[in-house]
Amino acid sequence: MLAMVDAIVLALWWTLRVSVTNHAPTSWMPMVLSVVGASLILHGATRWLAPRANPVFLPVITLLNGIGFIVILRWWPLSGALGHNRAVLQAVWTAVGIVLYVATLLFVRRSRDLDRLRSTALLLAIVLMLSPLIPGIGENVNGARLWLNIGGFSVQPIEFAKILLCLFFASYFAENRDILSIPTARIGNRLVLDPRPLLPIVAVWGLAMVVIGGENDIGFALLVFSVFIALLWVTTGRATYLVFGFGLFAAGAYVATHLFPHVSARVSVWLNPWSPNLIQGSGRQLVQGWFSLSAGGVAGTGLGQGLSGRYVTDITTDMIFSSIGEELGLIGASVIVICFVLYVGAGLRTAQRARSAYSRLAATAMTLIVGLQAFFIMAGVTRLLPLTGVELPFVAYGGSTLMANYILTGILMRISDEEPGVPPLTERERQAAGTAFTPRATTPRRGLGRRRGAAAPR
Amino acid sequence: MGRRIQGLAVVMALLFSLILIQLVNIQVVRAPSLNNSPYNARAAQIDQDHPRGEILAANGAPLAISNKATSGSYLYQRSYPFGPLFSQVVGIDSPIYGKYGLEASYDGYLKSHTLDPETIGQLLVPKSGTDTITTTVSVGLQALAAKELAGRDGAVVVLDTRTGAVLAMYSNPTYKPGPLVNPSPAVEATAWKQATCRACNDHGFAALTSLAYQFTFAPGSTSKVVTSAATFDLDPALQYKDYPVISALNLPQSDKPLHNFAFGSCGGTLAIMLPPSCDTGFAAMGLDLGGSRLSTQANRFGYNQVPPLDLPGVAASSFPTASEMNANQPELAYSAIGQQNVGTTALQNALIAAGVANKGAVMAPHLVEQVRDQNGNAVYTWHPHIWKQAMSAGAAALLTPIMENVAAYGTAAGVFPYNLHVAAKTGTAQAGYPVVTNTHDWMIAFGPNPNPQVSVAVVIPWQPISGTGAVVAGPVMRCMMEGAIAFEAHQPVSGTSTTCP
Repeated sequence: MLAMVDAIVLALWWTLRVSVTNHAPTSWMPMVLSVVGASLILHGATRWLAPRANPVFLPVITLLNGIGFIVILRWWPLSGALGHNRAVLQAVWTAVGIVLYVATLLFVRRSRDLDRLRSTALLLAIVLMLSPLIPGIGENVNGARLWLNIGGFSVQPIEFAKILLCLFFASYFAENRDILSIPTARIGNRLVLDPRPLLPIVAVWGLAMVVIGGENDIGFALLVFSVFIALLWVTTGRATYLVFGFGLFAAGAYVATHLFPHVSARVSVWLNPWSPNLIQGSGRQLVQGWFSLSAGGVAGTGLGQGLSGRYVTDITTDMIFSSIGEELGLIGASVIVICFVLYVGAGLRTAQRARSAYSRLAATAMTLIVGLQAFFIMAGVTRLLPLTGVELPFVAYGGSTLMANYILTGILMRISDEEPGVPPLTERERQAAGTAFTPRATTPRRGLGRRRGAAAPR
Repeated sequence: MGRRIQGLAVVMALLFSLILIQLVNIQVVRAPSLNNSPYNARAAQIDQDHPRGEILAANGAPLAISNKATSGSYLYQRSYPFGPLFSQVVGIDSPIYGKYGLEASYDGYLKSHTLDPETIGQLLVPKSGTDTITTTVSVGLQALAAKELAGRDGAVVVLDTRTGAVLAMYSNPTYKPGPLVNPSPAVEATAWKQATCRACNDHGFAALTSLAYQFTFAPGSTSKVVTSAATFDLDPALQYKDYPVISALNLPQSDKPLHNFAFGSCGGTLAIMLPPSCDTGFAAMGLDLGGSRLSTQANRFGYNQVPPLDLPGVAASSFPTASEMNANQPELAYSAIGQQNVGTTALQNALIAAGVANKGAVMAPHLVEQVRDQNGNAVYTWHPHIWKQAMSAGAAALLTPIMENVAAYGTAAGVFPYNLHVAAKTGTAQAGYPVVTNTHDWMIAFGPNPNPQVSVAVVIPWQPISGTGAVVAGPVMRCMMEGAIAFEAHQPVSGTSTTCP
């Protein structure tokens, strides 16, 4: 699979070179060696450190990373000073990401090691999240205060914070499962949920608001909050949390829209990008992104033939999906979507088959971060949701996001590697087998009573 | 927990399907309207970022070329070396306002397009190129027309009667094409405002609209050629009818008589009445012919149809229908002398003269002779063909000497030098409603006889009431006719002993 993906990436690269320079690339060894080398390292490290992990992840992220790199290279051709060339930097970030992936597998030998680091994770997450507000090292880019400037390199600490935060959620929920889902407090003669464990919800909500207000990052707040609510629901099975969470979010969104001009501008662009006073101003990016997509049509204009770079701002970051839609067409854009479907599918499958409640929740959280982040930005570009400045995982330019997502995938691979080696039979398979040979003892929770007893929390 | 994770998977799958559905919506369903959105500058950008083919005059002089841009946001810059002289024919390729003229009608050849692969490499990565267009227009004749009109609003059309080739087609007011292809949107917008401004012209003509092929005027007495053709072909006995010498004709259904020009008296047979352009006689002839024959003949010359000239926006000339004229006898009488509801473009009138010259066959008019690709191979070549068989060769042979007499001793006497054998017809249409305030002064002609090669139509509208076709349009006609005949003989079109200075 990896070899095939490598071939696809190299073919795309070759096409781009031919399209731009009108002749076949003259020196192709460095590109081929680095792509194949990166894959060999990923593959080798995985065989060594997580041999039983789900084989879907690596080809999918290699393809996403590869297509993303080609598109960035398309807008940042290798000429002149390479110090600030985004394609070069992205290659470096990819290499660092691969190292971090290997390091994650190397140091996180068991997922429950992460469980133990719960408080550290929370503390670190909060520090990272608030660090851009520190004067001196905090940096303002496009009105959002999301960056840290350390030694000339801009780092987006939130990318790492979100992983730590979600690991904390997973740990907290796994421990407080019962108290979160079983009514224990008494009001009059009725049992209701103990409100105390709900405090974190409010705390996270407050945190999200602080981030929106102080750092202008709706995307992150939306992402963390969605993962949080989804995890809470997965843990407890109580729809009340969903309703409560959505209520809080709606209230927060309403307040934010009226309080922060940054948010209200994005909402008005989303609602009416074609209005004459927005189309040349704040709505231009979205409308021009649509023009890019429509220019691509089904088959695309071909690599190197698009014009997105001239009309769409942030073409290698927020709007990279529209560039893919233009040059690779509906087909290319669909490939990206399908890659994320595969990633999410593999991730949730890992979560389902994980051993402990913690690893289940952790895998769910990691998967949702990637899946929802991809959804938010693709939905933003296609105007299903307001455009939020989150990056398309593995595809968009950005060192922090790339490194964070490699670490995240490392954690998922670790959990996946811990799955029971033999997949438990499904109910239907068991029935089909129809014998007393059912290995009940090894799958105690998949008893026949499952269907009838669905109300009981698991 | 497992079941809820499954639920999550379903939700995520649904969310991603929404993205796919929206992608199909944007990239397939709404793509055409998005691609054509006025806010979408991509089409123009693609156009301006590639070289564009050249448009050449008959002698190879460039009328439109593309050069590498030295500044601005586009990679190529279109330029028109002859400026306003050819703008209404060549047109413009404006990044904002689109394409006009030949730039529009031959866009498929001019714009950068993929070529048929010649090597296996080109099969994979197709090569693109542009074609060069050679037109039939003469720079000399076009410049002569502009010089002779001397800034007056008006139009000159010169045709090769044997092929339908347009040798010159110039009209005032015209516009400078340069600013309209300027990379600066502000410059372009100002120029556009000027080119489309009607109040900027004394008579309300916008410069972007050509008076030569997009505007009709009452043709006046030049229309008697149509009436004569109807008589010769559709009611031959009528050519011998001797109409009484009168100064005014009482019209049926009306108490207002039709007067001759300057209240003169005239009459006789067709051959006698055409040289002095007898209004009463031709009006009576029209009444005798009837609406059906007159309208049939007008349509045989191409009225009420768009001439197949290879330009966008060519106007059809209008002639009342048979039933309309039969029901309204005064209109029938006035239509026979080219007044009231008859509207003619200079192009149509040149085609009528060309039809008489070419034994009754009106050749399809055209501007482009050949299109050649980058290797010089012809990818398109014009083949002359008949557009309309307007009249029989016999009728044309009868009409030609009568029109020669117009030039020899009729209303066009003195316009041409005596040794130039030209057949002509003047026209002085009354303009202004309800009170006649001006005249549209016309002249059509073809020559040199007996083997005519060229036909010319000149119209100069909104002249003082004292103006006539011979006085106002005559001098222009003389120079154009001499120049056109010289052009056909491969001589200079002006500045020689037989041509205008």
